[in-house]
Amino acid sequence: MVIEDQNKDIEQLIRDLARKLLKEKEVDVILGYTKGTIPLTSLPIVIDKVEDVDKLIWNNLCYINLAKYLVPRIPTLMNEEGQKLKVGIVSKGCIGRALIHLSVEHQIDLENIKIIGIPCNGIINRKKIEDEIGEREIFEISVSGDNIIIKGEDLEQTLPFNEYLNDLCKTCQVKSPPSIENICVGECLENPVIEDDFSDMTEFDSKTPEEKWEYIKNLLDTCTRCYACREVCPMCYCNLCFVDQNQPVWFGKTTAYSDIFTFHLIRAMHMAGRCVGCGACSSVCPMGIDLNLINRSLEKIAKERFNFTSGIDPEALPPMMAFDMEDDQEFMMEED
Amino acid sequence: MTEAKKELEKVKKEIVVTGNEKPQVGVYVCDCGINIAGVVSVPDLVKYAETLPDVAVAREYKFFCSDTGQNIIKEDIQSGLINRVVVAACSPRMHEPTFRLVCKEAGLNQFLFEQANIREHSTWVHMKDPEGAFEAAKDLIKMSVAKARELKPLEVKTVSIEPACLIIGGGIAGMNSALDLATEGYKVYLVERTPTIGGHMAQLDKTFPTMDCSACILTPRMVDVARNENIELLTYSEVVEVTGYVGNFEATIMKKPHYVDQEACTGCGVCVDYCPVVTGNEFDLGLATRKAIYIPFPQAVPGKYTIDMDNCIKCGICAREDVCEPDAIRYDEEPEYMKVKVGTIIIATGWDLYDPTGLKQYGYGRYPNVIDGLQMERLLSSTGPLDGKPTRPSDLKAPHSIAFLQCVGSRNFREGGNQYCSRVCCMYATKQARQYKEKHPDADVYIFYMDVRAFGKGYEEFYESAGKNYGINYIRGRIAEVSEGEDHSIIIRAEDTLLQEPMELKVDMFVLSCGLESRSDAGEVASLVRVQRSSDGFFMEAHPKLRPVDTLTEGIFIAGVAQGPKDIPDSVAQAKGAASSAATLMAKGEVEMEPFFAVVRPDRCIGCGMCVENCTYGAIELIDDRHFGKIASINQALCKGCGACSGNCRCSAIDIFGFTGEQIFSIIMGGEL
Ligand SMILES: Cc1cc2nc3c(=O)[nH]c(=O)nc-3n(C[C@H](O)[C@H](O)[C@H](O)COP(=O)(O)OP(=O)(O)OC[C@H]3O[C@@H](n4cnc5c(N)ncnc54)[C@H](O)[C@@H]3O)c2cc1C
Ligand code: SF4
Ligand code: SF4
Repeated sequence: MVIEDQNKDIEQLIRDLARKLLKEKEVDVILGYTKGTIPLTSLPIVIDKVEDVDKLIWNNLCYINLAKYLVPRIPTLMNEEGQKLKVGIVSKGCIGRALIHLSVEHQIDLENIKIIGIPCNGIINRKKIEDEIGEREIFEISVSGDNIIIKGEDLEQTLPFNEYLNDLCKTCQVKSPPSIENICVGECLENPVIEDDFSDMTEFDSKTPEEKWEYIKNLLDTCTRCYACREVCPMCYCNLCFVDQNQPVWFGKTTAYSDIFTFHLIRAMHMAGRCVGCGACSSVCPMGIDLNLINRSLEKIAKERFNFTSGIDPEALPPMMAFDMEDDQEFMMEED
Repeated sequence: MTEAKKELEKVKKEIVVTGNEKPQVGVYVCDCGINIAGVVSVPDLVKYAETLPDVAVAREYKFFCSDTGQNIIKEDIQSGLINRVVVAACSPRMHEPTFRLVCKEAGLNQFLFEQANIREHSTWVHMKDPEGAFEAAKDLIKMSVAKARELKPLEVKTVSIEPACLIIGGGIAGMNSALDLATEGYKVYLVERTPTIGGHMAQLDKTFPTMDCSACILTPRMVDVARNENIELLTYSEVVEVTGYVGNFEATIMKKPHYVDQEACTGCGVCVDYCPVVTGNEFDLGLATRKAIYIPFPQAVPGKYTIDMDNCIKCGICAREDVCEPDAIRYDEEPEYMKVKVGTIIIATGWDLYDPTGLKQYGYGRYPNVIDGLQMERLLSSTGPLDGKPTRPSDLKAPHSIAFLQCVGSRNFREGGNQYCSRVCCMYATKQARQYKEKHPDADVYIFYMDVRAFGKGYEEFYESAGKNYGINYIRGRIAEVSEGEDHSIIIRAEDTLLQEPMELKVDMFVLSCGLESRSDAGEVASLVRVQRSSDGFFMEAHPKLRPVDTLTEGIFIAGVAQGPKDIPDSVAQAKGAASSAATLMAKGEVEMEPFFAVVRPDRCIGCGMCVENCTYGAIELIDDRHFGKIASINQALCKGCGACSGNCRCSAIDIFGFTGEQIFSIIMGGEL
């Protein structure tokens, strides 16, 4: 099926389910996507009336991970009496994963939400498009057949859809949220089995430590420490992020490379076994930095070492949460 | 009030340091005789210390641990000159308590003290590089001062102690500890894995050097243990879980099913006559047989029967009315679990004999007439399979010649084996040789040794007389290999290292004097009760000289061979030592706990629960706080201050008192923040 037809079907699925849930009072509000105000974006939206259901959309620019709006740092959705609202949340696979992992970390109560599962057909990578188009302003972007059509001032360009997808989406094995009884409606995956060969990592992994260092340095060099990546990440919900702590000041606040690197290094450690691979961080980075590589590395280690993939099984203990004397310790190297 | 009394009151008054005032650090650099001053210039270290931030005074002295040295520090505290103390000297393991007490006595909170170890960590290791040592010492002092500036006063916690002791292992060591503690009025739970107490000593015939009969001195003690009201004897049981901490341990004990009702069984033993299954008897090390329903040996305590389900064929004969009159057989018995609360634990699990099968050159397991020392002990025993008339396994004839080989599996720095000396084998081989000679004066008995270690009271005399009065031939030399000659005799090829000649010898029987090893399951026991083991596998004492019966885990003690090879007198001495240490602790009624536990900063904690499962001690749970919502909460009594939670917390919401983020960070940065 061509992409635009898929999108129409998904959108229809979202609206039908949302209407049903609101009508039957299964939920108080629906959290979903609506059209963005500028091209290459979409916006999150909360609706509570059946009439508004048609504001909900689906396209390949719905890159925000909506689970973020349920984490404690964001004001809780409440009614006038101060009671928590029951939320129906439009969920592509990675939103489902985020919800499950957040429940493992005791941050949300799955009982209080309905997962509106949809079969995600991939998110367009804004950076790749911008690299292609350069400085020229884009007025409109749409999908037709298997192509992306970009219109702008003196500009009409057709790009093959598959090549401009997020790299993450190409390896994604959880396009719909993992199914949880009584919580999932719509299209959900029953007992997903992750068989990831991480072939996308082969090239990076074969580099020498020096080459990797160089690569990462080039990758992060332009970071301005705006923390957009942190702000959009569904797993970044600490009350006081380590970068903002001042007792002690763990590291400098500048954009000297050592400070940038320390920020990303520590953030990576905090993401280990937790990142759900939604790619929201890369999508929002104003400098177009793709943190995917770091996140995939973490996912690979968690999978290979602990046979763990975050956000799949609400019962499974993430590696950083478990204490096991039998864990491999082969990384303890003896000096020769 | 007299002037002197007033003075005293003044001194006694605690100097109030809230931690918010400007730190005034006193740095005391110790010469430690020539240990430190002989390698680096202490006056220069003092000068350096004076340049560090917030250092109010820095001083040198020969021995700060001496009375005079301590008084120097006290005076500085009392005169209000300083409110933080850094002693740059030896290891805090030696003198941290000393200097904490100095602070306390001078009225300063004892946790406002920090020790820089410039001896072990500098002048000793870098003895040959004085310049390097000086730089290292400077850094160590700088780090300690940096941390001292961040120190906050802490309060010691006290917890009450349950006046009961759990003893694991009912050998001669465990039994002695149990009897001592019970006599002092403490409740004792004596857990023994096998169906009887007694341990290895029950298997011995006579005991060196006095040659009294092992059973004769052991069995009365076994009966004492069984009779003592304060001892709850739990044979055929194992400890499966230990939680808690000094003073308040909780142990789960599994009572294995005997398949015979221990209350009902009268120990008449009729069942044994009827049981059709014959199998090897562990107690006689396979040299004799027993039935599937058995007691390990006639004097076993308690003298009740047990069915060995691995071999039982459930024929039902023993359950017949005419066989077991009291109707005690219970084929479907299940293990029972019980929980006990104790204040202290003594580990007395003893030893395993080194298995010489791997040493192919000695033919053990291949030639029938090669046996190990413990088997020889059973053969010599009047209650053993041969009624104390040793014969060769191959033909059951009394051997005319026997050779013993010493240090099998001990003092071995090459092929698999243990490096330590097992301490009992020279003596037990001598004992066994003498016993055999007593019975067969014409027999030729040889002992091949590296050197004879007869270190104990009466041991040298015992050994001397073995050669002189019993005609036992001691040959200094290692045996290269043995082979089997005609009629299963053993041909030994060795070198007599005194004569420096190769030699060949044919004997009827060959005994391997195997050494003692830590129990094969010592690792599991160690992790169960959370104590450490030394590199030889035995449980580790807190200090080899000064705290030989304590472990590094407070409230847990070790006794007998579980701690390292030793003979019966030493095992008993240590057992009594362990009992008295446990009693000393329990007599106090309460223990002070170092306040180095984890604390949650509720404003930072987000309640993700990452720490909960990570805490090996189960000290953390998530609670609903009125103000902060779901947050982690730490049971300080369970917390060991390991810091696993702190290191894993993304929000830095957990600090360890005494090792807070700020403190560690200031150490790393050396105060340059
Ligand atoms: C051949 C030979 C001859 C010897 N002759 C002499 C001699 O003549 N004189 C002398 O002084 N010394 C002699 N010794 C040394 C003597 O045997 C030891 O000193 C003595 O056995 C030490 O007693 P123990 O209580 O420490 O250990 P053990 O006797 O080994 O007792 C330990 C007990 O703990 C139990 N146990 C172990 N693990 C557990 C567990 N996990 N849970 C519950 N229970 C457990 C065991 O079943 C056992 O009953 C000889 C040694 C050998 C090998
Ligand atoms: S969004 Fe980009 S620029 Fe901003 S902090 Fe993250 S990586 Fe750096
Ligand atoms: S420091 Fe943390 S992990 Fe360690 S014992 Fe205490 S609570 Fe448990």
